[in-house]
Amino acid sequence: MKTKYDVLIVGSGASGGMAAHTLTRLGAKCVMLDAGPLIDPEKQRVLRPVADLPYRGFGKPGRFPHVTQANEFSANMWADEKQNPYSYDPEDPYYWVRIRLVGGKTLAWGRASWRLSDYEFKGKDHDGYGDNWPISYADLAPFYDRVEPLFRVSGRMEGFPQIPDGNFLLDDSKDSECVQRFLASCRNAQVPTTKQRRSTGTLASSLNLLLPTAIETGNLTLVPNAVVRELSYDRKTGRVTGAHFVDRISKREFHVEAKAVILGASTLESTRILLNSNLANSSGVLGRYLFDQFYVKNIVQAIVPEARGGKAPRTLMGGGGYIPRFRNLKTKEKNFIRGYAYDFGSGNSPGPQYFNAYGEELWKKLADTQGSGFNLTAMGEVLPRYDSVAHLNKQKTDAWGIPVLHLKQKYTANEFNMAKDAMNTAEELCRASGFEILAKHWEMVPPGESIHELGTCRMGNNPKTSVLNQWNQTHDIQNLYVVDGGAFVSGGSQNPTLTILALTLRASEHLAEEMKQNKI
Amino acid sequence: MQRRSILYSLLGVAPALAWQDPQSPLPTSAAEAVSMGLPKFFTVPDLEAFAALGDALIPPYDGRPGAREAEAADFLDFLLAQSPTDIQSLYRGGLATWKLRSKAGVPAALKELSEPWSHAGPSTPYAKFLSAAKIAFYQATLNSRQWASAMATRSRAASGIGSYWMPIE
Repeated sequence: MKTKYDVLIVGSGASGGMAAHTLTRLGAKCVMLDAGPLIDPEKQRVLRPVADLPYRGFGKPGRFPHVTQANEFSANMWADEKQNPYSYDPEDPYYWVRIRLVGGKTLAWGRASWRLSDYEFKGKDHDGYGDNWPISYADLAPFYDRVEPLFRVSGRMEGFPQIPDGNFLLDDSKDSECVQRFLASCRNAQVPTTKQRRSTGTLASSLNLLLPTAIETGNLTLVPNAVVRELSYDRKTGRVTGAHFVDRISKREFHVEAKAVILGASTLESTRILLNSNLANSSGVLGRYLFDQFYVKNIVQAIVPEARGGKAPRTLMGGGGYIPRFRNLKTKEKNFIRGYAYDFGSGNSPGPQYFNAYGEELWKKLADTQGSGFNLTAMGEVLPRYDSVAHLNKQKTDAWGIPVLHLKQKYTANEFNMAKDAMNTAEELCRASGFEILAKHWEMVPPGESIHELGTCRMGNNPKTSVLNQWNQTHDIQNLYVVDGGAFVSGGSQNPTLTILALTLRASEHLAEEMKQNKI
Repeated sequence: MQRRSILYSLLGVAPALAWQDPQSPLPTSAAEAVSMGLPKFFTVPDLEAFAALGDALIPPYDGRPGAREAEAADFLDFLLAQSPTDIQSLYRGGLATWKLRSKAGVPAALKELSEPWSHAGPSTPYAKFLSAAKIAFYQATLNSRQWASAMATRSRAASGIGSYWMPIE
């Protein structure tokens, strides 16, 4: 007999995993569909010398035109772009980076774990742009408090309002001398700094931190290789009833029934499922307000002069840190709103591209600067815009015959001006630290490449201008929730995963309560 | 050539790759297919000119193998045969200019490499080619077995060991 579950969860990454972790422990019978296979990362990976790989580490040409993160070691982890196509205007390329495995992108994330603040949740109140979230930091803080210990986030308590402190494993590691010099320059310039805040452990994934607990309850049925085609809907009740899905390998079609549905398939995949289902879009804004965070990689590449020629004492180089947003908090910049953050690190070896030399001269320069690098990467807030949109491209389908997305997002003056300011500030801080500037630039990577795509299914109090209410529940359909990055109204410059986890925990407990009260 | 054969067997796609070599007729039998070797991009004389460019860009230095010792030109020829057409055009056009310019000496032929680094990269196709070739020869040399063998006594990291994701069904 066909089972009817309490909750269908689509996706198994940060959001899907957290939904399963929460709901199964509250007694809900859950079924989880994921488009990819279930793998054991430890058995799936082997140590190999790069010279033994067929393409010497370069990778098969043309296999991943939009995944700059893919190299020959990691190539088999990323979603195949031929099986999973999408489209964009050639004038405005969008790099959509995906992983289709149980555990999703938490198998490969950078683990940076920052809280948002009311500079994001109430951004409109601060500078008048865009919309506020329907929640404030105080609403989400208790859920951040519970997520951080699960992911064993390390960090340092600082008291910065723009990146609120949390339940950290205290990071009291010492800074190298070159980092100390840089921190002193930042203090003089009144630029805040802190240690990285990161999830710790060998693997910090939904696969090892969330799903095992859910499975142990006996309340989770995990179905890998299940590609969701669309949700099913009962017009009489106005409720979703489950999902139609296709087996990735056999291509056989199936349907699963549930009393409620949680989409956590990733920002753009959840929106794609809703668009293909023609549901939850009475506002007309489903797919709109697509944004991310712009990245300027190695915005400044500097050299620590005392480390040239391999002469650095052990204490000089190594380590790094983080500069949170400092623009437009108490003062106002002339040509941009919002702000940016930096990651910085020391001890790298600048590559041959930075040196205008070849042959023996190139070798000498590489040897001279080995291990002497100091570099910064800037991450900037991108303004959500109505015209930045993901819509269906019905002329194109994926390997399972499901219409794909057409993505339209481009950066404009606010982001460009912010990036130029970030470059100039980074240069000033490095020079003040006594570092030599080897290279600088302000050009960001294409939209999407930061893998921080957000919006398209945003929260709001007004059903005419938003898709979700404050509980990640669709305004249109009471038993349908979307818990991934699609819900974001704005994103700041902080990596979004910790906020996705906290929002999902909050939304899942709300759903459980609604079910307990027989509202769903 | 033996190394090429090993790579070819690793790829396991001998007949299918034939279509990517515009200078070779389609194979009519399995035997013919396996006798074709790896896909080639440059002609034999052009490959030698390309290898000479590799010598100039990445020569042996202080006990480190150079591009020729690492058979980097052969490897990049294999890679280029499968590369997108815009990259193939860049290398084909660039090599033709290199062949002409190098008659006046290597410094004259490589003077574009004295341009300082910029994010946008060089402005002319030839300078773009030289810049791309410099990075490609450098990386192909560092990622070679010859490099790993020569550098093993100097550094534990020289073998370039990484965590490789096996193919997933």
